[in-house]
Amino acid sequence: MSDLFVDHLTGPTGPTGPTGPTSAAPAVLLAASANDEWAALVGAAVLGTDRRPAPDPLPGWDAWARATDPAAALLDRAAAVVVARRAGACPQPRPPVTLPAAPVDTRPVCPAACAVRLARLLSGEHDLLLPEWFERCETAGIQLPWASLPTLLLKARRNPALDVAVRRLAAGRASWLADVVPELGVKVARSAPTASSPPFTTPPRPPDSGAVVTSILNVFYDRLATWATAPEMRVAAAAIDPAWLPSLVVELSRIGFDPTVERTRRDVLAIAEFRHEMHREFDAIHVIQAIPVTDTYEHPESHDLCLDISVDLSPGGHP
Amino acid sequence: MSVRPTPEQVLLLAPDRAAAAAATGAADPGAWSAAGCDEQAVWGQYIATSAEPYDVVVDLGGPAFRCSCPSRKVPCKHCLGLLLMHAQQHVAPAKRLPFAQQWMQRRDRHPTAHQADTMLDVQGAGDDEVAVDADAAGVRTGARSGAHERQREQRQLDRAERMRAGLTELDRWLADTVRTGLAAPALADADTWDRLAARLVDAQCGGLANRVKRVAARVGQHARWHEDVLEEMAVLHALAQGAMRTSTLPLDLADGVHAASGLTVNKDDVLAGVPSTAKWSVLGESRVREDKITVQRTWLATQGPAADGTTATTWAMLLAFGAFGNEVTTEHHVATEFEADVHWYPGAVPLRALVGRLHDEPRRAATAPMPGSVADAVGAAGWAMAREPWLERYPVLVQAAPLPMGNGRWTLADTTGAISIVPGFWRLAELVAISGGRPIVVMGELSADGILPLTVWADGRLVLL
Repeated sequence: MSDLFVDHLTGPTGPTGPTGPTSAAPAVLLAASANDEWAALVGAAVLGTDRRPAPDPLPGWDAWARATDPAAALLDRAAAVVVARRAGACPQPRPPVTLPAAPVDTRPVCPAACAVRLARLLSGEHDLLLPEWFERCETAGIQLPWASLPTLLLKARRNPALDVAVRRLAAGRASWLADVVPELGVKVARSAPTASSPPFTTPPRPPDSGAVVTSILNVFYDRLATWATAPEMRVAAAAIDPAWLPSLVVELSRIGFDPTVERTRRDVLAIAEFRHEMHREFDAIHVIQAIPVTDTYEHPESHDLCLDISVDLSPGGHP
Repeated sequence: MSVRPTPEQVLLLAPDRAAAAAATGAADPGAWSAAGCDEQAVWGQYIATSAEPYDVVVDLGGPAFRCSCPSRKVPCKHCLGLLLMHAQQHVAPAKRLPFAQQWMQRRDRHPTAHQADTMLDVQGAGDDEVAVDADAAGVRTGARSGAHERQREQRQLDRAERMRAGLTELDRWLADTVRTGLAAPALADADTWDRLAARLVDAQCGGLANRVKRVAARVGQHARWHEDVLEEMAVLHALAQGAMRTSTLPLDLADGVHAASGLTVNKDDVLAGVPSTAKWSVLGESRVREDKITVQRTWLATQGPAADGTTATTWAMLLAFGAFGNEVTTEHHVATEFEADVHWYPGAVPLRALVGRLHDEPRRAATAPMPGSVADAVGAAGWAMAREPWLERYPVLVQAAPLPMGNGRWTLADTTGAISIVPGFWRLAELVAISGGRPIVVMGELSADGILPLTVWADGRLVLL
């Protein structure tokens, strides 16, 4: 209740005892009397009624001071004030500050699916794909999901390259947020990347993604895909041309259960599926907004050929 | 019933036709293991589809039935099936199995053992063990429900007595504390509060025990903690006083006092009430860990035109609990809406509710809800507090912009005023980032500490905080 204060008392719970104030009493007076009564009760309760008996009730509050036991009477009176204050609570006055509004952003809002994808990336799930998410977001020309902005800025405090990327995509709102929420502990001005700071880029795309898919699958068919190889294959799955992701997903799903490679298979399959879904979500934006596709990415469905090739790549590996 | 009953007499014990038909099916010796009988009892284990076989015992003297199956029918088909097999001489005399021996011994020790058992249970439990004090041929539903009623009444009386003792003790403790003063060092000791809470749990005042623990958390929280604690103690005092004289209170208020002090209401009784059928939107969900359980609150709302031309919002709160290993799951997802019957629990402020019949499939809400002003929201919360001053939170739906107060705290403010955001709200930066300094629609729980934002709508998007 400490933040809600009374300036009127209405309804059945107001002091309507035999000597209670009439409804004509100014609300301000009632609020003041509730606060004074409360202060007196708190003072007595802190020291204990044995040492400091509660003073006589203020006019209007004596209806609840009938109990003979001073402690019980104090609790009765306190309950009455609490009920009155809670029931009569009013909004606080508006703080006398004005918050500058963030720069207007006319870009389309980030679709929910893409925002959720970013939140998952930020929670540590396949964070290898974060630069690619940024790349697609920037190409699509959409807003950053603002709910993820504080997390991104905090993450970027030790990663100047990420900081640059976040602030570029946030288009002014990052500096605005750092300014209005100083408790976030983020600098208003962006940091400059140094030569030693880690880069924030997508892994380099291999010249022949089909060959990379083939070799990933061969490692599995040869049962060499132990847990030690998983990090490298994850990077490979994050680097290949996204058009090859469906075939990688299909082929990895077809590999029969083998205890030596199962853990690796799930791991590589998970990142391939995650990345494939991510691209599909961004592709959907192009469809909705009918913006001409400007990047080199082509829709996976147009690559029937790659599926055929991948079937050829798996001699005896599936039924 | 020393004389072995005939199959016809056994079937007369069935609570309904379906049970009688099912009993004939259950009387298959192949489905039973270790079935046996003696002069007083017949028992066996029914091998069901579940992992564990059901332990079935019938006391032929009562007859009284016990079966570990989840059926609420008494006697259930397993008991009847066993009796049928016994009547058809398919059960051989044998030594009693441990569970049968135990149960029969308990019945021998106390002729009304079943009552003692069920009295200790919480309402609703103990249905698996009910005696029928009528002759095999003369059993009728009326007689059985009469016994049921008597037990239930006894159970309630018993519990009321325990609660009264607990409330008296709570009130005495509160008065003693005020007598010695809130500055006493004992109050800063968590054990003092834990002991009180434990005694309240023993007295089956679970609701009050949880409150006491929350008060304990306020001790020493900031420089003026004495005010917070005295406030909560005053509310506890009012609740204890109210709970000891519920018969003199208006019916709604008495129900509210009961609920706050921990008297549970049977779900079936709630669902038997008159529902409110409307299009309900799920606006927010909060999860709080209390002690060892997770409490999940799901806030539903339905909006319609009010008499004064504005939009009136009616709230319903669904409560779910989860414990370790049995985590609470989201049944109604935020941002969905559905046409359904909602039944409120009895109380002066209709808030806690159950969803009864769904009239259509939940679907994604097409539009954001209509928010109100800050003053309206605080006014509505005050209205609720006037009716149930012990309410700890009330839902609000406002359109407001976050504004700093200057002392590290933030508020949600519009032209009518401001509500402070609870201290330590860890998604504050997200809230500010989403708003961009402009008004946003926020749904949250308003408590004495301020508002805890749960859901935000901005730019036609919904964000869960």
